[in-house]
Amino acid sequence: MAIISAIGRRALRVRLLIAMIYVLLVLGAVTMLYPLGLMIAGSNKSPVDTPDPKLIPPFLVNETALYQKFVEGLFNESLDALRTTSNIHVRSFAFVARQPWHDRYVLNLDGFYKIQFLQNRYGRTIENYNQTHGTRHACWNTVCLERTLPTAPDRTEAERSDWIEFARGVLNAFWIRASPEATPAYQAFLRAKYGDIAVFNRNYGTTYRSFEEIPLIVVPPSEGIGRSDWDSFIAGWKDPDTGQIHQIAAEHLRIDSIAFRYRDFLQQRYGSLTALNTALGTRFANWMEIQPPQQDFHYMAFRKNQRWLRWEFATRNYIAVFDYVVRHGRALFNTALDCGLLITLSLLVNPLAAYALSRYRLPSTYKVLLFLMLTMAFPPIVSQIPVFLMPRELYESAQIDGASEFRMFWQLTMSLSKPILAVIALNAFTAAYSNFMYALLICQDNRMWTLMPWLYQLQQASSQGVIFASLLVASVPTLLLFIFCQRIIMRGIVVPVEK
Amino acid sequence: MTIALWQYVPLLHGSVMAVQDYQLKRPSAWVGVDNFAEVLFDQNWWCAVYNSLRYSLLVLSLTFLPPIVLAVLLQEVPRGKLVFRTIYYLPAVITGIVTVLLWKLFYEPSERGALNAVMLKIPASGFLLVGLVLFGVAVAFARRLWLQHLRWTSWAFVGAGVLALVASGRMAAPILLLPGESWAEAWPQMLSRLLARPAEPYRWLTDPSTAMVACVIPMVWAGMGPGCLIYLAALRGIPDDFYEAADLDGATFIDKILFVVFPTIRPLAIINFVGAFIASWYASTGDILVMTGGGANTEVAGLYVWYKAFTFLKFGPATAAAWMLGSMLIGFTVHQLRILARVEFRTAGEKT
Repeated sequence: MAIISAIGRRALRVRLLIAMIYVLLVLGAVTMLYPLGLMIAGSNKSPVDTPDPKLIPPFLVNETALYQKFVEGLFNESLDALRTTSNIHVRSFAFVARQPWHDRYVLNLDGFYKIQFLQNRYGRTIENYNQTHGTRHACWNTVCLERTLPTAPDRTEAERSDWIEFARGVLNAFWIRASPEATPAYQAFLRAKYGDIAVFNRNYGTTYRSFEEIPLIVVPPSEGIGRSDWDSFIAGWKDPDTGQIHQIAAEHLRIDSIAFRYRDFLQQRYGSLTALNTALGTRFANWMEIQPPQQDFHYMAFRKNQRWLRWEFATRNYIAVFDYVVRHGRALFNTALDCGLLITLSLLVNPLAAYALSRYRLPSTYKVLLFLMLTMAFPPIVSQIPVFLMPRELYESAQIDGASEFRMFWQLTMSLSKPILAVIALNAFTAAYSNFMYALLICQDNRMWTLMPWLYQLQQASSQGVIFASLLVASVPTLLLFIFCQRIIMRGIVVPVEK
Repeated sequence: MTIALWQYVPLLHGSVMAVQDYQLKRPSAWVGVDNFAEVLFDQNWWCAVYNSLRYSLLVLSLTFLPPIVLAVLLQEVPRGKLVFRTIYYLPAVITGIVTVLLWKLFYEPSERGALNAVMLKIPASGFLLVGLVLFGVAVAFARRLWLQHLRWTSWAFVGAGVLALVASGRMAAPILLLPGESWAEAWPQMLSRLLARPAEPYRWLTDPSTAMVACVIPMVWAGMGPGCLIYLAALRGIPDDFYEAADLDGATFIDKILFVVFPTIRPLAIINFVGAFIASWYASTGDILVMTGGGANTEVAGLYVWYKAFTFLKFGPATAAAWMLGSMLIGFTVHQLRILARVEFRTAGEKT
């Protein structure tokens, strides 16, 4: 307290002044800290919660936010995957909310049919669909993918043709099964394609004696000639010789999916829909509404692992940054080398130069100084100046006591200059560490890059959360250095005063 | 030796390049002063110089005073000096390019950008209030100076206050006055408009009127801490007797700042001033490159040289331009060296 003297502190004016000073300082402190706070908070985020400007990441305290992040991670940030699987038409992961389990869930094929096929064709609204199909669905939930060709009288021609097109063309033939009535057509197709049973046997590695012996495929193989033949059979194969198209009849197509099997399983267990509803406490109106409870499984997994999830989300951005830095180039090694070298060099050259310049008052001293400083224009050379401060008497008395030149340098100058040396070392470290332009420009080979160019590279290709995490990681060394060396820095600063 | 090798040899090589039509792969042809002519007659070059001047003035006016003010405040605060000092130093811990990248993220031109989220909450009266406060402070200082018969300095302070008022008025004007309206039409709604908030989010980096200021703000933010450390050290060197003597002469708080603190800081301030001026011409290249890439009328001279050299690969004109830049600033460099030679240096001492 220098300007405001200790006396008269209790007067109102002085108190008001001190209060104003506090207010100003606190306001300024907030301005200093708020961006840092945003950076720290932002370093945990992923695209779903990046727009949220709260200082404490919401997923740490809020279960809904944690669930949204979990769902985002589950579907690997793909909204399409979420919509296809669960029939939730949300604009982003931030709108996902916890659904009670007896409500709707949709599994892959149903959702795929509706969202990727029907909605692509007829638009997002159910009214459009109703118009083009002549149906009267109240909402998309009553539209479903049938197991076989929809032949019921209340199904329109448009729906049938949709189903056929979907089953034949769009759906992966892996999910298609054929009813046993299709066997003759299948055998006819194979005969038309291969001609001779020997050719067929050679291709398939089988030993049938005639085409009539070949059984209809029950479960299509996942790859190979059998699979490609099955694909052709489902979609339609044109005989190049006769021009006839061999194709499974639409009535014989069956779609197999996990949902259908699940309904079969439930039907076996409970018999009727009412029994199922009574047993499970649900209110399903028809079998097609039942879907395997995928969302429930996810939610159970989520409930069990909340703590782990929180930890995972808080740290995964940092882990990504460290992974990147350690894996690419020799960033850490180069940075350490660079800083170490610069510190050593400056601690070697600066004190020696300053000692020589100050100890021996040569006429060329000023010229040498000019030589040095002309190209630097702005002198951080103030760090060297302190050696000028040592009084000549000190050196003279040391000389009288018989000290050698080196001894005088080492014991006298260096020990008295410790704070200033610390400042030199600190400046050298900061310069080397934050040197971005030179590293980018001079090092053509990116194995020579220090940390900064690598982090710049990382930021071109990451989400905002990872960018913030990388910025924080880059600041840690300087922060540590500052915390431990604050006292030394304060003592070592040199101040010019008018003579 | 090292200095000669790393500084002078490239310098000489560069000067040779300046009079050549330098090609990377072919032997170069001597073109004499053509390179200089090309740069001198280039409209973009003079635009770049003007932008550099604008940038320098902005940087100096904004980054110069806050550390001094902060040092005074930190010295006067009865408690929590260490805490505040650490807090104000924290932004500087994030080094150079990282600060620029951080602020680049904050400058996102939508409502969700961090800076916009804050600015859009300030009503028009908030801007005007800040301007009025600054004006008031400047007038208070001017009054004390007037009483000491320092007329010119006093008017200078008043001028600075008026500038602050005008700046805050310009910030508030888009809210108070819708485009196309005159004052007479807007007057009846003025009271409600004073509480209204800015309508549109500011497009910091793409709007020419805010881009330059946007480049300067991170420097201010990060420069407060280290800058104030130096001034704090200087302030510690002032013995308490000076203040007591001033008290006996009937000095107020403002008087003591004006007549004890400022003269002591003067040599340091002058050195910093010239140094900062020179640095703002050279050192800003990297930061502005990352921040705006020279767009929105922020291309400064250093950036012009960079682009000419490394994007257009015209090394001849680039070195010529760099030489011209250096010779423009050589006067200031020499001036600074002369001041340095004249002052006496002292360490800050052990008091904490």
